[in-house]
Amino acid sequence: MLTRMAATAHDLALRYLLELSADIRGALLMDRGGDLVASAGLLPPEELAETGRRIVREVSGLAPDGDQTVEVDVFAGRGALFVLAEDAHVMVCTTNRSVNPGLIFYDMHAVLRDIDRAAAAEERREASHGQREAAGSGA
Amino acid sequence: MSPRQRGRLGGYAEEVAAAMRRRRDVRRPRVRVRVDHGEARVLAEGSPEADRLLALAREMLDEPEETLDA
Repeated sequence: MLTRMAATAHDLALRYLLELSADIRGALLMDRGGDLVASAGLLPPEELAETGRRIVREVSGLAPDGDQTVEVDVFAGRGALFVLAEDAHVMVCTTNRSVNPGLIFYDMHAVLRDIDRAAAAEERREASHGQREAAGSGA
Repeated sequence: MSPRQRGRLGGYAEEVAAAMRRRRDVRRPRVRVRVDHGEARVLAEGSPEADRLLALAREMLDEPEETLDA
């Protein structure tokens, strides 16, 4: 499903997330395998893909069934990290410490749902396009 | 100093100490997990998962390394 959606749509979704919440400094999007799909905002550029992969590995360890929804929030000294694994994606956000975790997860869920909906619509569009082409070549 | 004044001073000191404790607890690092919309649980301080997730958070937030129980 992920490969059928243009990479820019994922980037746009993360930028929208940053606009939704002024508290979110940066965001990452990975697939469940740990491959980096998109990133936005203020994030340390070094080894971002590797860090993302390690986060996905850790979160996968917390959900033994694999495809469960997992929410993790980590409050460190100067900021917080939020991880949401749902369906095909794992989304990561960094914020300052004075945030309401429920609100951050609410925004993350909303954007992940939009991404999944867009990917499903793209899949349907491609399927109907393929059917039309097959019907055209058969005629 | 009268016993009443001493009592009031002691009360103030206790309030200040409690406020400092609350502030320290609020600022203490913590890792919380919620699986499948169930009950959220805070990972034990010093547990390997909590330390690894905290280290990853610090990498992303560009903070110096420290463990939960430090």
